[in-house]
Amino acid sequence: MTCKWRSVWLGMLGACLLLPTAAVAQAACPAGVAANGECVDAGLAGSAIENAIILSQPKISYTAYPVLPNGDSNYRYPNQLNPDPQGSNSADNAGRASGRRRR
Amino acid sequence: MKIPIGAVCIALAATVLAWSADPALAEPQAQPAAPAVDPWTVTGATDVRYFSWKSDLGYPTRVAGGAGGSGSELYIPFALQTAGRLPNRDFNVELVARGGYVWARQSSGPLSGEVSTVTDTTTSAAVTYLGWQAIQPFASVVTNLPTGRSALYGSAANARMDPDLVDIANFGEGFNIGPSVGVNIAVTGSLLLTVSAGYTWRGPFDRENGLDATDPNIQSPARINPGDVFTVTAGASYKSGMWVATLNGSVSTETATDENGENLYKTGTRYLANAGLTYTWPDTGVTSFSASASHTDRNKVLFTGTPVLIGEIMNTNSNLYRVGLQHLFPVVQDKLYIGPLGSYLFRDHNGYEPTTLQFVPEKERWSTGALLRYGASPNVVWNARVEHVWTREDADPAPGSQRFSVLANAFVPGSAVPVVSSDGWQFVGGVNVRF
Repeated sequence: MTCKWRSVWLGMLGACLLLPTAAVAQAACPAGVAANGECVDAGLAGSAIENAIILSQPKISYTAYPVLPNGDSNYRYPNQLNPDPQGSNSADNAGRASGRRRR
Repeated sequence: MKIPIGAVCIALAATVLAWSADPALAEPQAQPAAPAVDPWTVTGATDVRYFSWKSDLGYPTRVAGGAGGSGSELYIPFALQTAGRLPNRDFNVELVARGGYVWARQSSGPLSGEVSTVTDTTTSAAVTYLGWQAIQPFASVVTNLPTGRSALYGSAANARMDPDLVDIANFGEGFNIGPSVGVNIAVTGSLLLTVSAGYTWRGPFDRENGLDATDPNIQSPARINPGDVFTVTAGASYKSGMWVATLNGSVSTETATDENGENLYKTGTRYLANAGLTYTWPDTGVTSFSASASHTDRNKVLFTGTPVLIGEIMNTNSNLYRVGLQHLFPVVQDKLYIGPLGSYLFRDHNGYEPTTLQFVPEKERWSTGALLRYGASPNVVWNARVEHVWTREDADPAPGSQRFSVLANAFVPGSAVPVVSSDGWQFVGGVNVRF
């Protein structure tokens, strides 16, 4: 076994040893445990992750983000603030920057 | 107006399921899916949204030819979300799929046209690991599936309307896929710091016209390959008593966008910040405030006669600012909430002189309306919203019916556009059902 593979196996073994401890914490705290030992607020954590995923994919779709429709009001305006060359939002300026503009 | 039977069936099915659910006390608001120890939950949701507007000029204003404009749109999004735990209960999984149907029509003299289509479909799969103290890593893959129509031949192209007046102004693009990774750092149970990074591969698509075309009625099909986007984000969320505060920022860089195999432009680095503040009053409901701002650096563009993209002289991109405020009063505690909402959006004029072809004038958008939320049962929440929207765009002059193209270094024909005022109505009804 090479040194590289040995390190991987040791890492996996370490993770397995740590997991049972974490699972004990999970039973008491559905959304995980904070640094100070408190249970993490589930709504706050879910909202923070959803925000991070959507904001890290600002141009994934100009139709809608993959959220339930009643969540659109939370994300429509960050989306609207993206420059879109197809002119589908408030910042529809990029098309005007082309040197090949036909008029 | 042709409405696909499939779209209607899905909307009706969600409605029937909503009415048949057991009545009981309800949560006043559908929250973003949160990690839970319960068995897997499935949530279905749909809206019916209708938009109607009229304006001094049709859209786009530079080719409206002095004709007044009006338009309407029906948009029916529908989505399914499922969330739960893997056998190893430290892993929380959330899956979302969303589609929709849209019908749109503009009636503005030479800019009249209609389109009826399903929209693009978006999906999301996210996994969060909750087994470590304080550190919650997550990963996701988000896609846009090209089920809509990116190319609108003939008069259908005129159905693209002002996105400040309708929800859907773009009826399709290519296959996009975006992986993201990030981590929640739980300092305390109610103070979270979040960082993430995402890369969006954006696939090519066809359009009836190039991105630099101005008149939708003069068409020349083009193949667009939009630039890929790399984004990093940072955020903080804090809850204290009745207060919830969030602050997020992101920085995005983008590769060049090609048209018919040639570089067309490269959007500048974009900076976005948004903040939210919510306060739950002891007896009088919930007040929510939000604010967003964005700035984009200068693009790299193709000057006439040059083979490569060069940094533009001034900034084509405007700065944008938006604030919103709403309050929900409890009419029937934990069941029925009604309240007002309003928002203001400001786009400053871009960096070019008003007499140039590249100039984009200042624009304002105001909206005010009312919101209703009714929890028919623990699993069913109905929503309704009515909004009146006003926009005002400054004049876009063309002395002597000409504009100077900075990129072509020549005068080109053009018509002056006066101050354009528009107003519209938006009606929204929808339901969330948890199975």
